[in-house]
Amino acid sequence: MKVEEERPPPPEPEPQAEEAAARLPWGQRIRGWGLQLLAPVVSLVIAAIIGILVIVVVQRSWSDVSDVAGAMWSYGLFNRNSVAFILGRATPLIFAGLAVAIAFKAGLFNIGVEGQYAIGALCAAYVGYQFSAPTVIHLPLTILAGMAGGMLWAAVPALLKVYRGAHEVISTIMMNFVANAVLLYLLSGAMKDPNQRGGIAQQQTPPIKPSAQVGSMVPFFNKLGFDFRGSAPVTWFFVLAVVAAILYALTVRRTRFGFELRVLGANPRAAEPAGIRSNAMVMKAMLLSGALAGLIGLQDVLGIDDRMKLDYIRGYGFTGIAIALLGRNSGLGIVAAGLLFSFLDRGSSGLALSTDVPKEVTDILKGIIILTIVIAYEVVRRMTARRQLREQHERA
Amino acid sequence: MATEATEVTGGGPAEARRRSPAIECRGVTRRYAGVVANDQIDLEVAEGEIHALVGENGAGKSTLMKMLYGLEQPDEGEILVRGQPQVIDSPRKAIELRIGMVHQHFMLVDDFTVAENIVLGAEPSRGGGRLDREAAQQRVGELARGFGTPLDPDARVEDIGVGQQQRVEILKLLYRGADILILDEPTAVLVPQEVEELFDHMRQLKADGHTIIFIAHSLDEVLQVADRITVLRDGKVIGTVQAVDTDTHQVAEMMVGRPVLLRRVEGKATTGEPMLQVKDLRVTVGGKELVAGLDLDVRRSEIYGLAGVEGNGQAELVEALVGLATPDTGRIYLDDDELTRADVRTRRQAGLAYIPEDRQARGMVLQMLVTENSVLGQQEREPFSRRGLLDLKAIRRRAVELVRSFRVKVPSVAAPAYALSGGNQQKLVLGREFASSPKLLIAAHPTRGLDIGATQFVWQELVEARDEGVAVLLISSNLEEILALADRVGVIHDGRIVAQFRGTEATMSELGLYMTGARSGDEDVA
Repeated sequence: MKVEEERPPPPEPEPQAEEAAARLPWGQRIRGWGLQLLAPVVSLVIAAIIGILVIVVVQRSWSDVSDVAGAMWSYGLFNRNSVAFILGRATPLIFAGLAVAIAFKAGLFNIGVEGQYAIGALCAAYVGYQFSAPTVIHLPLTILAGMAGGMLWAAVPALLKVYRGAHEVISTIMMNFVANAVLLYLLSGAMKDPNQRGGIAQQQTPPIKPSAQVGSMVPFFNKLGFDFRGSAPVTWFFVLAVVAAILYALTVRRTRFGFELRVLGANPRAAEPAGIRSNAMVMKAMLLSGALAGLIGLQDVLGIDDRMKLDYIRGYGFTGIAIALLGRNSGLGIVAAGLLFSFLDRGSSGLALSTDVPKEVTDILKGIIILTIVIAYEVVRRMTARRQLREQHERA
Repeated sequence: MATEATEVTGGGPAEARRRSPAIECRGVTRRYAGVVANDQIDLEVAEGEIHALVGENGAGKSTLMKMLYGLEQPDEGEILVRGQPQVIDSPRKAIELRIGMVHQHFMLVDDFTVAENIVLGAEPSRGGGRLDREAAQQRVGELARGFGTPLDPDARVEDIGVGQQQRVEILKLLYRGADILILDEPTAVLVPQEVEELFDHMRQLKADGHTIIFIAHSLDEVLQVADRITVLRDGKVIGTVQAVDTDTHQVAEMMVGRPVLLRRVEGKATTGEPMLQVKDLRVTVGGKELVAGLDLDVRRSEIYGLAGVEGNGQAELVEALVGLATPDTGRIYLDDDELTRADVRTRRQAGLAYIPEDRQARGMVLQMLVTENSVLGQQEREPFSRRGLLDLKAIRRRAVELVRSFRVKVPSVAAPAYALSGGNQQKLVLGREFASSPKLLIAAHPTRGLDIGATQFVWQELVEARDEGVAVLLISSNLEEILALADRVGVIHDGRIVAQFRGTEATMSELGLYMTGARSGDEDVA
């Protein structure tokens, strides 16, 4: 057993006003950022290594590894339409990540983003095909309808939690099933397009009126010197997603609402004595989460398919959980994580085209990234905690 | 270390039975991050005796017991069990040494039956990992009978009462062969009749040759059942006395220290009109009426000290005053506003400041920055936020101000609060509440866990706040603190104020009598 040195009690510390007033020294700040980046980077590296092992095992050949890397890299980034595809595909993922993250900030686990975005899209589709108005009115109304639909679906678990103490994880999962059933019911009934010619009638809505459709960003990019095909799936919703991420970051950091949200999420027992109305905050956080979820599907409905189809459930909601985790619930991080996942998607198409490696390998890769990220964060968190404790002891 | 006058050597009724004591601590010292929790503890527990350990909160009782049970290791000193020096490095080791502990919070599986709970972890098996249910029931039945207690081995733990659950905990220890039993505040959860039963059981266990160490707050109870009493204060042993040779006065004085240590902090108190008024307040928690028709008023420019043994309704009273609990009946007024049903935010806006008892858990958010913690609870005030937007510069200014004037040691105000030591975290919370320019300040045990220098500083701040016209409600189980600061003192017992004194007229022994329930009936000399 180590016997501590007997030391006289340290004199009452005189704080150096300058030091306290100053921001953290640059060295420490950079170290802090490094620690923040460490976890995602480490997990990506580990995921890549495991991904390589998977390819080797599946294909029984080392040369396929470089083929896969090459195909993903060259097709994923340098194919004529890849950039457009990545930006377009990242759009719903960014919204989904933000929807999950804002609930996370309040300590809520909203697994119901999947159902919320389905209902949101359904509402938007209805307003989009049913009504007519000039674009300046019709398009914003349609988008608002989408957000309102998502909020409506999130409001149910929120109310259940506030008034009946029902855990949001359970109730949001249940609401996903209900959303799915509602979608099926309406698309094959009341909302089914009656004017379909020939063959078997598809379970889909009538087309969205042009006044509610959102424009493609391809002409804009091509003016900047890109050469995307006209059908490349990127719309102005991408810009909206980035704006939403910026607003999210500002809300969390710079507003009283964001402050109270973070207090509630980090220590609910301290929130109450600080005069934070927990129930109201839970409601607001869930409704905001639902509103963001309502935006997820709008690019597909209003910009790409121009109608809502039965194959509409595309798992964006669940991917959003991974995006929020990978992006550490920060606005910038979520945009980056959305782009990364989108790139992996694009790269996997390249595999199918130029190698005989099954493109499911990228799905495995995504799964591993999510797993390793959770582990890496925990490891880094403990490292940081230990370091802090040590420093604290040194000071004491 | 121990005072000569009260030290009893070679005592203990079991002395004749065996030479070496069941437990002996020699110079045991335990430090936490600079705080000495146990300082050169010498303790001797004779075989076959009931040995009570008393002291204020933070006196070091729990730390000492944790070391006996292997949850903590001493930094210095040694522990002898039945005469042999032992390193108790885990509860497993403690059980091997036949030492068992019943924690204040029971460690039972609610869904399991009594028998299952008792054998859990040491189940009789029939091979292949299958539980031998009959053998378990039989063993438990025998134990319970030997213990002289009717206990249905097939009842599910969630269906039986607290007193019976406690018996299950004790049986669990006996089943594992423990003969040195540590009971951590066993009476805290019991109603009076159950306490009587528990004491009967303890006497019987003693008759069977078991040794019992128990921690208690109520001195009456201690004197009733214990053979010897050891008093701890500030991590030191003050003395060990024979229960038959002493009374509550003596023990209380040993617990809180001598009045000569006091130095009243004088200010220019000019008590004004009532600021906080509480009328017939009742708060029920879990079926127990813990605040039972309490009347209280605290005046402008006054420190009202609320003295009482922990668990007599102080915590619930504070929660009701702050807005964290809803009273059943009664009214609460702050200045001219009725706040009985108002939420915390409304009360804070009306001029309430609150220093919670558990400052780390309820007073701050460790993951958030020092700056952010500096305005927690005041986030909706100008200049910290305007129209919903935070003013980060103003928040930083406030943080720097607090750090400077309250001498909070921080690496930087931009550091997370968990980077601060416990004492500095406390100072940050205290400073923040003082700085909110309140009308009423509720301070729950404001100096608990602080060293003497910091304590003196907080006292000074409380007096200054009072002199500036703030009404201060000071809740403390530390009588020295109450007597040093309070302009008026109220004693709370069983959820009611049973006596009130002028601060200068209260004496420690008199307060002690009311606190422990030795004297009752309303007395109002203030």
